[in-house]
Amino acid sequence: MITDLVRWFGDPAHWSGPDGIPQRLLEHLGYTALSLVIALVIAVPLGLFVGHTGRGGVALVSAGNAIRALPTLGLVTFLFLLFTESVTSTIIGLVVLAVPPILAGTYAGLQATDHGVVDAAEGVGMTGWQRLWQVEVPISLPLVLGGIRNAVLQLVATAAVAAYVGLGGLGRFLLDGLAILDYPEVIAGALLTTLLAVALDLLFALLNRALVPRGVRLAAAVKKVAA
Amino acid sequence: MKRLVLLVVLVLAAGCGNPLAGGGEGGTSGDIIIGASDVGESLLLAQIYAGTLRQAGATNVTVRPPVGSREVVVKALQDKSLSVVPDYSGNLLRYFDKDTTATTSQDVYAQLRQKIPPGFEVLDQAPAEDKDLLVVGPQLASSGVKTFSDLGKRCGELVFGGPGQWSSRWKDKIKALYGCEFKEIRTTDTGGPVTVAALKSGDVQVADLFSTSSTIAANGFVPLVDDKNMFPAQNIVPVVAKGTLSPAEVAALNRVSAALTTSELTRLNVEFTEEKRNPLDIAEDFLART
Amino acid sequence: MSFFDELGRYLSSANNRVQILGDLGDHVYLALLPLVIGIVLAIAAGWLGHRWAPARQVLTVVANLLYTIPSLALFVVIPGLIGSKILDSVNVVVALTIYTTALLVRPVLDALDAVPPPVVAAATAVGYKPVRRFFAVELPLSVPVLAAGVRVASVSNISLVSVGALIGTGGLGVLFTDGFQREYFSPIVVGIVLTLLLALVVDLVLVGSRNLLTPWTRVGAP
Repeated sequence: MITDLVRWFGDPAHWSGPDGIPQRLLEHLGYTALSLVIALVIAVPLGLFVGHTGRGGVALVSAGNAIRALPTLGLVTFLFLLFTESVTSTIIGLVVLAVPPILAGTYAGLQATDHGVVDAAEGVGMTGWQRLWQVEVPISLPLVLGGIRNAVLQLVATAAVAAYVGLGGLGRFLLDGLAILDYPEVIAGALLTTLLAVALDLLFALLNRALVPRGVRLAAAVKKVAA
Repeated sequence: MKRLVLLVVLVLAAGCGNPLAGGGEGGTSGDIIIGASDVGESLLLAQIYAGTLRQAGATNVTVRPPVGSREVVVKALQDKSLSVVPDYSGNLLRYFDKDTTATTSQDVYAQLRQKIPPGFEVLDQAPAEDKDLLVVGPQLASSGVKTFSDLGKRCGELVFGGPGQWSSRWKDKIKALYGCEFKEIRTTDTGGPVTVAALKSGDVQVADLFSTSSTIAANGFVPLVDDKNMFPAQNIVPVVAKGTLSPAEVAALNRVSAALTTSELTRLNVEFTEEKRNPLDIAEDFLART
Repeated sequence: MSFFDELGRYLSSANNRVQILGDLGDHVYLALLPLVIGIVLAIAAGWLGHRWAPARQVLTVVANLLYTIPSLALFVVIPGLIGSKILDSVNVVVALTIYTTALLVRPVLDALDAVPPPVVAAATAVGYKPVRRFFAVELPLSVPVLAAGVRVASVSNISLVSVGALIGTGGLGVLFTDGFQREYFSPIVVGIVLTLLLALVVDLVLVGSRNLLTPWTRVGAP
């Protein structure tokens, strides 16, 4: 099995052309990135608004949970029949899946900011906007990034499923290989998809390191030890 | 603590009954599990076989949801996860003998009986055929492309859409017979909605669909004439894992195969795909007619 | 025919109804069995990680990695790993058990960490041996946090089982592939609605069980 897999990867035909690894990888990243951007545009402002004002939080979380329960395959096939076109329906489906985790993360992040700190900021004379961007957002960054990370993992996994409705991406290796029991192709597809997910996950760990202010990270660590 | 124990007991009790037993685990001996490939019509045929066997007195007959293509099905027949599968004589022969030259119904069936490996057997074939067709949209057809030979001259500028395994099965043959090398061979699906949508929108200009499929007429597609007989005859034939059917059950399947003609099959497909009837309902009505 | 007329026609066939109910039953089994096994495994793993710090490190990293594996990838790889037959539903059960366990290890660890040391000390002082103490004191106190994790896992499982239709297992996913193949909305809509209802019912049952198991949280709050 391992030798077959190595041979599959060693075959130069698998690295070029519309069916090649680079092309499929780019397609997969493309669907993920596009859906992520759209989801961020929708979910982050919404989450910030609800988290900052504290209004409608429960409704939001419930709605988010309900959407999480939507079966991926069902949503994608439904949308395909509606739009009779692979890319639109899949992107919409992916966006719908990505919004709840980002929303939940943004909202939870803002909720988790210490009221004392927010109060102090108000006391120092910060306006609502300043409070939001200079205090609440930096403090909630770990949870927000966590939500986005969840969304990205969901997207990578689901984009593989979307190959079923004719989409490209790494899922093609999985489904096409499975149809003819070409195990090396199937395992290769599984491996590539997993590696992509792990790589993006590591990226987020690095992003977390880079973006979250040192003070916030230290405070979180102290809180954990003291608990 | 008591509540915890109660919960655990309930859960174990629930876990003891596996509703999927006999579905994919091979089942106990005496179970007949009918499979279907990912061609839509295959499920319809599976239900017809199921109905026939039940009428012949078999009690443990189940139909599994459709799985992948022939490779998966053959593997499942080998390890007896499946007992019977409806298949197509021409493609089945090519699966076991890639270089076969048989093209007519009789030749294909005779060779199939010879070439089929031990452990499998094929029963009588039906007169009904469901062949691969290369179809094009109306514009391309009216521009003078009527046969595969006509197509061969234009292939280099055309994009083709078909099942994932089409490339490995036919790419060399179509080049050898018709000099056809498509600009691009794209994987859409096995004669399903993605292929139809792609052909309709012009994403692909040539597609592989099936002759009994109702989507060809419904969308105004034009099938091309296979003037050099690249695609062999494709009669519907039951493939059986040896030892899973009794003689009476075999006789029953042979009877229903004899009654299955191409026009009947086309009609059944219309009921399935266009009228959206339940395949078991369609099978029951068909069996009542024969 | 309007959509609702078509839906009515779809549901009027007895064979369709039988199909739907059968798929629903399969779906419940495929989603909930891994949930139960996953909970047990996660509790065992969490107990291990709670006791020994090196085990904790390993468990956290492994759980994180496993949960990152995309669902379809895991489904297709398992027959090769455990030697199951190609169409076996066991593949989905094993894959979802892995996901559930990986998801729940963290909440178990967090919950066990959160048990106040004075309580543990008091239990030991009263005479509980470590194992008995775990089941009688630490585990029950972990239930609220654990329940939150289990609720997330159940929703996730119920949604993922439908993906199994792509590898030939049963469940409501069959309605999606059927509807897609025939360009037929009704099975897809029925499948989506039933999945959502199932998730809702299971969630309510979990919340109810959590409340049953933690009577002290409902007693006389100020």
